Amino acid sequence: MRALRAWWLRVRGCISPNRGEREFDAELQSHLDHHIDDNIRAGMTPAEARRRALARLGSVASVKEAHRDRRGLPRLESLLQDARYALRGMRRNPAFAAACIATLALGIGANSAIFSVVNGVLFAPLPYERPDRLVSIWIHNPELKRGLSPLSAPDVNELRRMLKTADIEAMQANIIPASLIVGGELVPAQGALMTAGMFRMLGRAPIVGRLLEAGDGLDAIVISYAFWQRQFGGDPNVIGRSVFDGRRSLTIIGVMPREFLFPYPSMLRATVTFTASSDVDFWAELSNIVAADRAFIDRNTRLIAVVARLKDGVGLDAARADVDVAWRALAQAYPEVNGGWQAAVVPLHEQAVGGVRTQLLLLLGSVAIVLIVACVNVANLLLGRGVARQRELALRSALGAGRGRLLQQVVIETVMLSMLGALAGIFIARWTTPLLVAWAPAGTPRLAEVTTNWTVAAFAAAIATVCGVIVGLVPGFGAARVPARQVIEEGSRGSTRGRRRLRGALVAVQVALAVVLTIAAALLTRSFLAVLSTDPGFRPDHLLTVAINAPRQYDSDEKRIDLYARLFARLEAVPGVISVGGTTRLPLGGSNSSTQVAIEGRVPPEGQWPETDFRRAMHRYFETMGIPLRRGRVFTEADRAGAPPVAVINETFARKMFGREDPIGRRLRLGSNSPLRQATIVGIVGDLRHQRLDVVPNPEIYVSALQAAPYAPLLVIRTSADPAGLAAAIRAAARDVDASLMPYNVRTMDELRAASVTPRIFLMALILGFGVLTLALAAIGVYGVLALIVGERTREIGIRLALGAEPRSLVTLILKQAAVPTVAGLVAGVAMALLLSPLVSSQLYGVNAFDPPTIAMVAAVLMTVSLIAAAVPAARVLRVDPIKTLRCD
Amino acid sequence: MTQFEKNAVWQGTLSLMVLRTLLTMGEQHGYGIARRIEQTSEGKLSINYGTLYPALLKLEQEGLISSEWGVSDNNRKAKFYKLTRAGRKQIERDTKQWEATSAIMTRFLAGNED
Repeated sequence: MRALRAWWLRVRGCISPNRGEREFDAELQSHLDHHIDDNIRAGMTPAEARRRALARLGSVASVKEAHRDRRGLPRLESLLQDARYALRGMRRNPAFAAACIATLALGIGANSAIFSVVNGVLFAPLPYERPDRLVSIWIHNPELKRGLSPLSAPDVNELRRMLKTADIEAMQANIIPASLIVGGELVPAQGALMTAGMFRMLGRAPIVGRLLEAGDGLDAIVISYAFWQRQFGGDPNVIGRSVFDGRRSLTIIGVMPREFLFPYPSMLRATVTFTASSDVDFWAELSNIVAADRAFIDRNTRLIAVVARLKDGVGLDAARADVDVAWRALAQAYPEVNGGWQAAVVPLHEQAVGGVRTQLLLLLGSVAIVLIVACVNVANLLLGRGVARQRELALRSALGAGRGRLLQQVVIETVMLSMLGALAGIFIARWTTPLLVAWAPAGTPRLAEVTTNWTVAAFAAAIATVCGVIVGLVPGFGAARVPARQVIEEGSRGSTRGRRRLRGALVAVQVALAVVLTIAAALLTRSFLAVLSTDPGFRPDHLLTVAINAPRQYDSDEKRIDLYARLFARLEAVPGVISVGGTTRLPLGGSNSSTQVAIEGRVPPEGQWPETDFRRAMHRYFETMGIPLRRGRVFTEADRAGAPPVAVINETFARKMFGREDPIGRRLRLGSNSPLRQATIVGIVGDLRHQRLDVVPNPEIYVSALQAAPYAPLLVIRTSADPAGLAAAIRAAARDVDASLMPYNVRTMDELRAASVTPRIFLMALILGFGVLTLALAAIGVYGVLALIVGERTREIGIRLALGAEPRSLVTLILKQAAVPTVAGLVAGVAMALLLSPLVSSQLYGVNAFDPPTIAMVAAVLMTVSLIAAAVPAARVLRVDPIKTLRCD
Repeated sequence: MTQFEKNAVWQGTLSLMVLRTLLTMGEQHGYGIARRIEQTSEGKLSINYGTLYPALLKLEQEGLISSEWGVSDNNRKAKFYKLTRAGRKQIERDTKQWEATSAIMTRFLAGNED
């Protein structure tokens, strides 16, 4: 307390130093007078008395200094003094300060913006209570090459009883796309089914109404904040209101808070279905569905994703061991379905965001390079501030300033510059982060949680401090190292050789880093072009896609088949429509579905059937899509109920399952996800890129919709003109067939194709942008060094010209000065790029991380840019007037 | 005469001497305090003013003494220091501590002669 009070008084002393100074002068004077009085009283002459008193007092200056130090805080004072000095310097040379601050603001701003995204997505804790205790539990089967998969309902029930280290809750491993009728309007919505305890396990309460309870029927739903706002305008009386989902009416019992986002699609790593959109609009109780739907009783139907909360004091390893033991017991008890499967425990945070970690960290790394290059540029600017500054530092050193004190002064100045840069950078980040979020691929988890918050500001301040110190130390050490005497004696020409070498090294560093980023950007661009030129296996142009739901009265296969037949006939009559077809899963549509399959004659034990992608084809689907028929035939009107069930497979299916055998005429058995349990293969069609353009096709099987009519088909319509222009006509035609038939999700295939490459565009464009930025900064670096060299050697050049040197040879001489650091940086950069190539290789497609043509191209670009940057100052040699330069000194 | 360095022990010791001096003399100015300490030490101590005045300032910043300008016996303007209540308490505490330390040191040094 006393120390604090003293400290506070000393801080105040720093702020108004003059008053204390005057007062102590008076006190010392009084002290001296008293001493002289005493001496005179002791019998000395006044002159002697004064002399003795002064001698006894000693050095007045040092007494005053000791008092002054105690009055204020010397360290703080010297900092303030340096800060004031730095500010004066900035005011004196505002253009220089602005260049430094702008460069740093750009670097720090870009870093803060990317960090905002990375922090919100990767680093920030999940929005649940003690999220670090939450894990996902999956099973996988290395023999069948089946990755993390959901569990079956019976297995989950037994697991729940067996686990000692964790409490588990369950949810259906896919988001349910639904179309709700809210106040007479059809609204597409996404639902999640989960056990009633899930909300409580996540530790989140509703803001209106109540949570799901175990006893709630099938018709109780809790809605999301966004849905509440969108559909009900945030009406607090929404509780008890009903929405209609086409089959039954659902009653709203609660509203979750805005920040409650669950599950992220990435938490439902399911093979069954998966939608790219991340917003769940409503939640319903899962146990009822499980009880009501016989499919869930099947231990071979794996539809349940498990989230568990570790009990207090239980570590991840202990939980893994516990889950492992429990699962082994289940595998032993049911070897025919669970044999060969193993359990896996993944922290929920990792589960949610692990998929985008590589891309985001790549972005963070790339933008960090931009900042380093920006810092080097500022260091270079500082070094180039000319001899004047070095002489000033040398002079101060000669006057007794310690080396540490000189460094402190330089570093304070650069830290102030970078702090001002950070301030501007935070504004840049606040402005660009929303753009980044808007532009980020839709499938990126947690984008809604990205903000430029205090964490980001602290990050900006931290990197600004580090940059400021480093940028200050580089030229600071350079200045502190040169003996003061030498600098002063050498006069205005100064010693520049060492500094020039340092600047050359800095340029080499910049070029090397620019090479690394440019190579990465070039590889990503080539991958992107390779993806774009990938044949999707169908003709995506002039295709319109539309989702419809069969209204409730069409409750049998016959009724739906009749409905769809009338619909197709009506749609084909719309002017501009060439042909129409339909399916249950669209390529590039963001969802997939699969079933187990076995070839008759060699059926493996249940539970070890391989998986195949599964869809139904409607009407003229293959023709409309432009999927080529390779062998046999596609479906005809004759393939309807009552006729033998038939299937069409893709080429990958034929190759993987049959090898050289002929698949036509072979009979297949299909798993419980398929409406048909068996079918005969009648044709083989070409592969198409279903998931994304850069993902190789899976085995795929189609059955005829006339033999298994879907409830919610997706229609494809080939048009002669722009497909987007036909949307209204299609809606009207559908209503002609049945007034309650409401087409939704009307999109062109080109839109879907574009959406499927956005993750790539995002990463590529940002890294390309950073690459161009570093290239520009490196070019400025080269320019700066050469401008300095030409400036310093003007007189020498003048003499040489006067002695008859060829101007052109002098230009070459200067250009060589740029070539050395450029080539050195180029070599170092290529080596670094090769070392770092494993980091990007996962993001490449159709090109190797080591790609000589790319490297050659980048080298050529770098050399060209560097030469252009060097040519501007080098050309100044031609304008040197020998007479003028010789006279100027 | 003993010349002490500007170390922590000496600073603490000097502070206690200043406080004791003010306790016996009441209000006093810097010069007077220095004289008095030198007299009490029978000339064995010479006060360095570069140490004394910062020490006075420190005691004042810590609230143990307060200062006021006044007129001295010589009819000269002078800055007078006097004890505060916190200062009086501090003397008791410091004295006890000093006595304890000094007793330990005495015993320790005596022990070495055995």
